Amino acid sequence: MLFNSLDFALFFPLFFVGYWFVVNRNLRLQNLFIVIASYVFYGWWDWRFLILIALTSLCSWLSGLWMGTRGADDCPIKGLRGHRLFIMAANIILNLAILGYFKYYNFFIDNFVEAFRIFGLSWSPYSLRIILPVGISFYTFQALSYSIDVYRGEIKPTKDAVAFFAYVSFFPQLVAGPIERATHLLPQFYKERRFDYSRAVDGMRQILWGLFKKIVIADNCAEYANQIFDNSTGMSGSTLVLGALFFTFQIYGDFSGYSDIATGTARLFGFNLMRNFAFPYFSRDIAEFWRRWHISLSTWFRDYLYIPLGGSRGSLWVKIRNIFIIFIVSGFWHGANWTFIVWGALNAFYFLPLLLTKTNRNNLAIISQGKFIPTAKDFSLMLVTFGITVFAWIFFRAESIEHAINYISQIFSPSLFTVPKFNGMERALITIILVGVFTLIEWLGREGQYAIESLGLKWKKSFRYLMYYAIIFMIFWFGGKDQEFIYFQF
Amino acid sequence: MRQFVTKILFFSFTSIAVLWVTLIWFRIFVNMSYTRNGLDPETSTIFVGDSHIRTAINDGMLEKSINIGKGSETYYFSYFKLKMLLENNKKIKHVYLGFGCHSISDYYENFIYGEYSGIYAPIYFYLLPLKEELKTILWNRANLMIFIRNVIKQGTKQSFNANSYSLLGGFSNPFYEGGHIDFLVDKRLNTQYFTNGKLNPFSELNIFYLNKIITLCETRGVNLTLLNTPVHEYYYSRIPRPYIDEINRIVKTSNVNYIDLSNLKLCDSCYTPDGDHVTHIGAKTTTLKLKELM
Repeated sequence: MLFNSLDFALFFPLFFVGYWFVVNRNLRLQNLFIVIASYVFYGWWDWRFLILIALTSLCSWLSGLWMGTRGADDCPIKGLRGHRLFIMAANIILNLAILGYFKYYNFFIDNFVEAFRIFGLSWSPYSLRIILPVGISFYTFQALSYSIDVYRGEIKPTKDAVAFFAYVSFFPQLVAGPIERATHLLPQFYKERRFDYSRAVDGMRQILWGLFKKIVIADNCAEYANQIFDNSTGMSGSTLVLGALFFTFQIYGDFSGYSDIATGTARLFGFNLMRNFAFPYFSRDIAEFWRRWHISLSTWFRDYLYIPLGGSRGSLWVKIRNIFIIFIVSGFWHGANWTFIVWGALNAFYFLPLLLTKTNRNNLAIISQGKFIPTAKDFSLMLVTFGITVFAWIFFRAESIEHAINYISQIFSPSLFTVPKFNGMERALITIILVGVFTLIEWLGREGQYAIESLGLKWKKSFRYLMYYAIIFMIFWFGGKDQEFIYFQF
Repeated sequence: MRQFVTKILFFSFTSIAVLWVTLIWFRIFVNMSYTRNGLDPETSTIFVGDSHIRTAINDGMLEKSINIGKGSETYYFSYFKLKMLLENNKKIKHVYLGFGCHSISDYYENFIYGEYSGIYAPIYFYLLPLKEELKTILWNRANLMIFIRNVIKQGTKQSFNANSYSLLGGFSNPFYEGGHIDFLVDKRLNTQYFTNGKLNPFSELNIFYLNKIITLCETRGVNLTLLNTPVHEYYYSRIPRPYIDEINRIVKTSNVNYIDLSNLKLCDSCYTPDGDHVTHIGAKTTTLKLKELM
């Protein structure tokens, strides 16, 4: 079920009424209601996906229980007593095997076949003809974080299966994050949740802004980005730059819009989700960008991969190795394609000089805090960071490495200095204006959790309402053709 | 909680109310515009259909005739358009209706509900009786926002455009150079007749409305002729046999006049690259040929 669909528009009020008016007196019942609703929400795509999420939840919950009974006599499986590491590893392997099978099997097979072909050998293995289960990478990582945290002793294993199943399947963030940590989200299922008016209003404002980002910015940009990327051969350099810029705003509007809707929805039901985006395109270097882009994934890899590998400690070689591992794995997490791997590696290259010169933590504060106009230095740093990010997105969006290279080589041609031209260029001007207005609002609201967090709060009620109606009108009038959220495929 | 729910309901109801008022307002104004802005009173012959009619019949070469073909127009919408025109223009005595194999493929239902309906269906929205309006809203619920938005945009366009109905279409042929290209013809055929390699079923909805058009003309004493416009022989030879059989069956059972120009031999440059339409020169030849037959 998509957030921007009529189905969800019906599902959401029904859930709201059921949650706050029917099952509100019993916490377990409320959690059970979340599980049922989340399974309906997820099963709307394909009911068969439910088997996978249930399996992941069950295995992770049981592994937690067994780890919790380490050393105790009541561990249900005799041989597992005292083997916490083994249990955790088994759960990780099982979950990664499911993920690998559905997401990466064909990729590896295709590459092996290609490698065999290079050596003059032919091999025709079985290829899978299955649909990638929506959001599988997100809930798998969420379940893994629980296992690892239990193993590390950062969280006590839960005996409450309903709360745990609700934690893994919580519908607002189920298919595209934020990837929550058990230490943060799971305890919220144990506590009684009361309706809080100001939080609910804030949640609604964030949902509204998320919808604006998705429907107005991302869906419109997608139309032109798709057109330019899909027909890039023969297009001028300037058009291709514009295509890359459209994609840059598409992916931001799409993904951060989803995160806003998810966070806002969760707030309506008394939950706090972690922040996933913090105005990444206003970053002054790539390290800052990665502290602001898809924060829940970056911190996941930091805590469960980078630091266990040694992080920034150790020899120069270890540092470089760790940086490349984390970025390449992060790229591969996005999809089974070499383009994502190159995108990850490219970001590692961007990051490396900062790490080696120990300047990766230079820009921790908000850019030009309290000022409308940034300093020339901040502005130029921001522009350079934005430029290299746009360049990297070309690999992310391209169909193949060859496509990306052709795309880039066509950019750097004399036609770079011509006026962009493609079908619907006149209509695209409206989108460009909308993106400009959107960027300005984001810039003005960059000190908040989301751009319009405090916009209009001190205005007269009538003006504030007018603002809401204006946003609703813009969503209605300027909304682009429905596009599925990009990150669902991950 | 009560305060929150009240505000949300207030916002939802005001937004929906504004939307309904706008739609009702447009419905009244657009229908007034339909009655006010009729066709040329001398018009006795009209050509109705989709892009095939629109590009093939140059009404400037025919007397007292007007081509009101519009791209991707299905029989479902043609019926209501024709009904309105016949009610408001009593002098119309001859109707030529575009009729080809593609018109009865269920791929054409995508323009009523489906991939392209968000753009095409709103053009005819105000023509429809209330029951059909609600039906199209329901059919387009997956793209509801785009659908409603385009309905409002069409309302603005059709209420204030005093010179013509924007849904009328008219002779238009932007193809000055032609020549079929095999792979484009194959692509076209594949879009029209196949889905994932399987032959598309016939569109029951459009066949039903084709029959309604036939009955409508009969009851109003209007002479209806089905007109199949030229397609390239490469295209023609690849039309799936069941479709040719079906259109022959329809012609036979309905007992209406039928002019079949689909197999008319024209020069290669008379056809567009998809082989499914004629170019500017092709339109001239087709219209002259039709003039002979009329």
